[in-house]
Amino acid sequence: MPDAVRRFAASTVVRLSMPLLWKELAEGAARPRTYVLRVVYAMALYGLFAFALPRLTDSRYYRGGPSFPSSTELLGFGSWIFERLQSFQLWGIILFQPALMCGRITQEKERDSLVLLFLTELRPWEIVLQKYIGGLVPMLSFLFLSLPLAGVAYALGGLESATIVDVALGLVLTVLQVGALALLFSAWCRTTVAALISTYFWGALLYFIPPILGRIMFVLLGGSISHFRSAPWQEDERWKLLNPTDGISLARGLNGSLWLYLLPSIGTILLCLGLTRWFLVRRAFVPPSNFLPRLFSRIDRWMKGVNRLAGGLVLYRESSSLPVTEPVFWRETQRRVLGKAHYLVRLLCAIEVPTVLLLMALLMVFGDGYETGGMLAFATAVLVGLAVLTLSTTASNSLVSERVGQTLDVLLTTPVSAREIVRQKERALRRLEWVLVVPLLTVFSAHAFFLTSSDAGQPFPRDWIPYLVCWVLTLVIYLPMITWLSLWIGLRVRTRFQGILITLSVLIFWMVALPFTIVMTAGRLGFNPEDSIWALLASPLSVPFLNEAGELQRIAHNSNEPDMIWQIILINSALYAGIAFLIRFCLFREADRCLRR
Amino acid sequence: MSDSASEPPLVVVSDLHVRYGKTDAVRKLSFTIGRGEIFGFIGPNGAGKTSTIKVLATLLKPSLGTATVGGVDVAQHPEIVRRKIGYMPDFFGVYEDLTASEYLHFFAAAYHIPTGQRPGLIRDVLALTDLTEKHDAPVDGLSRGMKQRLSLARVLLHDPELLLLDEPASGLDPRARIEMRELLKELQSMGKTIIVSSHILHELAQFCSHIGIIEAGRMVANGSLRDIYRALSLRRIIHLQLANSSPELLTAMRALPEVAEVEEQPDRLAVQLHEDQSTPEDFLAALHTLGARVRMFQPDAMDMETAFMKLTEGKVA
Repeated sequence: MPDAVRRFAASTVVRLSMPLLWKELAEGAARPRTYVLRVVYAMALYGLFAFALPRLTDSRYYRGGPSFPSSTELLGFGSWIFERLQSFQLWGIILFQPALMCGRITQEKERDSLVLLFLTELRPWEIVLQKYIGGLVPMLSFLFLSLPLAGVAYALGGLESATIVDVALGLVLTVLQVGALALLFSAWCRTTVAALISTYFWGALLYFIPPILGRIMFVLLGGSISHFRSAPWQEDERWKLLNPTDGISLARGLNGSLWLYLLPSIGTILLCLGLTRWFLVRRAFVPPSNFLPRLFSRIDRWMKGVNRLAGGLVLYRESSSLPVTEPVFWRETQRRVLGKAHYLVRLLCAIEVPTVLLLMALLMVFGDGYETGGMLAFATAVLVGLAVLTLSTTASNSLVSERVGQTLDVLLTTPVSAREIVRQKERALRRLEWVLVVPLLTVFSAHAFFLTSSDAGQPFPRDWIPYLVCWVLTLVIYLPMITWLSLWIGLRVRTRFQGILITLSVLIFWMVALPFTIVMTAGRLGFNPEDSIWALLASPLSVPFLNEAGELQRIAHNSNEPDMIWQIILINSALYAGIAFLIRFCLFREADRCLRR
Repeated sequence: MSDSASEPPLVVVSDLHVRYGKTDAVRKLSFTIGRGEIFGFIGPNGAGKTSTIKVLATLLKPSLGTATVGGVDVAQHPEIVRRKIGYMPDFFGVYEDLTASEYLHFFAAAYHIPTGQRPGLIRDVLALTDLTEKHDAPVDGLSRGMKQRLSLARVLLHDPELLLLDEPASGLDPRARIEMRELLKELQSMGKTIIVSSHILHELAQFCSHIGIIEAGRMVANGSLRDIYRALSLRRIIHLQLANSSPELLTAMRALPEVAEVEEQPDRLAVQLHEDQSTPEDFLAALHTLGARVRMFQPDAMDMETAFMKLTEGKVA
């Protein structure tokens, strides 16, 4: 064998050994977190499966008879079960894959070890691919967990083997796509937290904006508003082609070539990997920088320039440029972007102005029609989601940043107690709470105004007073509660990534998973869902959600007890005010113990 | 260990035990430090130096044993102890979004220093640490050495009795290390009691009045440098150049009782003295007696590295 061939063969063997992938897998295998996550995921998956079965036959569910259907009754429901499995896995991928992938390159940057990889024989493409495969393995292992359930679904009948192949292909492609997007932001960003937030943000745009744009285009190109919701899906849904599962559905529905319809999603995967390779070296040594401070300082410069024309007008002057008695509060409100008064005013304008314009447009275009109520509910959901996200991440980061910046120890050797540090941080966060309250109140007021002028599509009258009172109480109680809970979690974690991930997981579990589990459990035990209305109080989101959806009024209307709506609102408010103060009590009680290790 | 018998020691650590889970970081550590002393804390990585300093800084509660500063128990009354101490960690611990002056104002407020006193005080500590020109410079833009000096300025704001300096020279370039050393000498002259941990052994030897060598959480040697060298029978090396060097003179020199060995090097003589039997000054007098005309007389700093290697085995807690 010639030397050149031998050398090529030897180097190929060395390259195929994939040392970086081996390291990634070994690290994953050594972390207890890997197994904990896998067990939690499996429990959620199998729990959902077990709870979902009784809902198969609606008559049995509402009759309150024996809750578990017999195996003969389940025959033919395989397709139904499989669809639920697919939805669960799809949401699992969207929620978990960014967290599993986005730290692959940023962690190397944070540890200053990326440069060491560049000094080895590994080429940038090899680094990208080995990191990519390493990040795919955990999520693919999660997908494998559903194989036994898929087997059960197939055995129950009603499910074609081609559907199983399509769903598996769609899920795997989604894992590849979300993973590639997360890896791209891992290469682009300096920190894991920035990569995580960027992935969720751009991922949401990738999946949700094209269909919305598609609908707008449909309307602009002549489709009437009345057809807005019932547009022929061939016209409407092709904007979803970036989503692999939708691409497969479209290909099957239109009898088109599968690979042609998958081209956009496969294209995005390859594009993301190509860009990852491009940015891997070019953005390997970017200094840590925050987008928001840079943006605000640019606006500052621009505003100063504009203000020269106004003769140096000063509308608001900060109270003191140096700390007097509360140094932590001073720093949080004078030197942090989400604490400075004039920056917060700008943030408020950036949220409030588009909100008001959007509401005006809604009321002008749709008037008091049914669509307006739906759009207002959608705007409420988006704003509430953004408010919870902003407040919880800022609050949990508030204490963790002292740990990460290595300033906590120094601060704790001063006479300022840990409890006092937490109190000052919490006080500083109240400004942000106010900024978030204003646009939310605007939307709620618009909705209340809408309720006074319209009863379109409502089978019973809706009163705007309990609607507005419920939301005002919710804001007054919940925003401080979320702040205290996030600070409490921030006391216990070591990194920003952990802080954000744990805070969001706790909130999602408490607000979404818990009521869902309660309702499912109630159904499993044979209770009518309306009997379990009080059990829904276990989630802070239940009553506001029922209020927004008009369900509180419906329950009161159906029970012939008009006061019941007030009872529910007051009991919910009292319960969560109590829980909020309990969390606050625990936060301050444990401040010294947790911060002093 | 206090030099002054009448004055009680400022720091008393007795039977200190610090445990992290199943690991004993510090085991039955006892020592005392008198007022005005500079105590050099030496030990390999993981020996328990930082844990001990953190206990004194009220950041860690001892698992067993006690530690007092100025007679106040650090675990029982941390809020009183915090007014007596200034702690500088082995990392910067600075807020990078502030200027040097704002950073000091922040901590002046944290130490409840009256607002009227702050400007003057901050001017003084900046002058002492040679950072006056950096008054309005963002902390983010300061060099590593300057950040370390700013940390030291912060430590001095409330005029503490005891300074706890954990690896103050770590990662500094030679110039910054020398500046830091000079600063510590100045603080010593101001009567501050200082506990300083370091890996740069010969630097500690130049200004520490006492040394504690710790390994695997236990104190293996504790006392003045001279005490430690004597206990270990260490030798001090003196480099000599004689204008009238001759075989007879060398023989006479080797016969002196304090001389252990004389090594002839190309341009000088390296004489090893028994540290416990003589001082360099006595040896110089003996040379004059022998009729030697001394062109160069250069005693080496005490051989800390030898002492360290002799006392430690490279174990960690």
